[in-house]
Amino acid sequence: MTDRARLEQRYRRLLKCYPRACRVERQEEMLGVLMACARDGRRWPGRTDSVNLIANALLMRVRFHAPRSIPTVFWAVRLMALGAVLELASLVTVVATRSDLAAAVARHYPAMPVAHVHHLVNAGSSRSRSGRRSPRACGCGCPGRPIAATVGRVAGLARCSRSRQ
Amino acid sequence: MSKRAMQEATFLILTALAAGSQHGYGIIIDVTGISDGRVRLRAGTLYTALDRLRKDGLVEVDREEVVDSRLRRYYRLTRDGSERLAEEAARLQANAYVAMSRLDLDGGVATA
Repeated sequence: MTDRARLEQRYRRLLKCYPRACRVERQEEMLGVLMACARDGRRWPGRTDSVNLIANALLMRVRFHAPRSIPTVFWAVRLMALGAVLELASLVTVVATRSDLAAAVARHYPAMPVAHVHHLVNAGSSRSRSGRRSPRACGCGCPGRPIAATVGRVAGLARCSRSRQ
Repeated sequence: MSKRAMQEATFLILTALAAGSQHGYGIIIDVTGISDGRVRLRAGTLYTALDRLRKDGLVEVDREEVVDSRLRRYYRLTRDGSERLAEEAARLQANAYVAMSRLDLDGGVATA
């Protein structure tokens, strides 16, 4: 293999950094320019040329992918809207079913004082609004506690799904 | 393309094409000559600039030839490209005029 052929092969390898669509259109033309610029006897692409080709190839990749970003933004906005709807739905559910929840807790644990039941349910819904444990939440480890915690967790999940976007 | 100041490489590529259509290697040689050897375009830079100029409608492909079994594409200025180059040249000329006239006023010597 001659020096020119070796150099051309190495330039071809470097040009693989360009996006395929770009290569199909320009590879042969760019090779012509690169080979015309190379002095006789050179077997390896110069360092400056190599860095220049790689940097511009990356730039072209960003440019070729740019139109795809519009649908991506569109989907991100949709996902964000869905997260907001879920959060709103969970909040409405918590507020609307507060009395049912208190009744259910009272039915399952008839020995529990009514004031304590309401305190547990309110702790759960206030957690769902603030997104963290309420300082007034019951710390006694009584059986009604997981119910209130679950209500808070559902609302918390909806909040997290939005904040991750 | 926005009306903000043009990059020097872009200005020199358009200037090279203002005299007539040229292929990639011809543009590189011409730009080196116009800038008195100061600007040496690399192939990557040239084709990224040509790609942008074609998308902006300032440059277009004139014709294609095959020389020594290699493709040669000739580029030329569009009407928009000529107008944009003329605007940029006028802007640079106006700036240069102000700079030269102020230097003449002060005798070309920086004063403390």
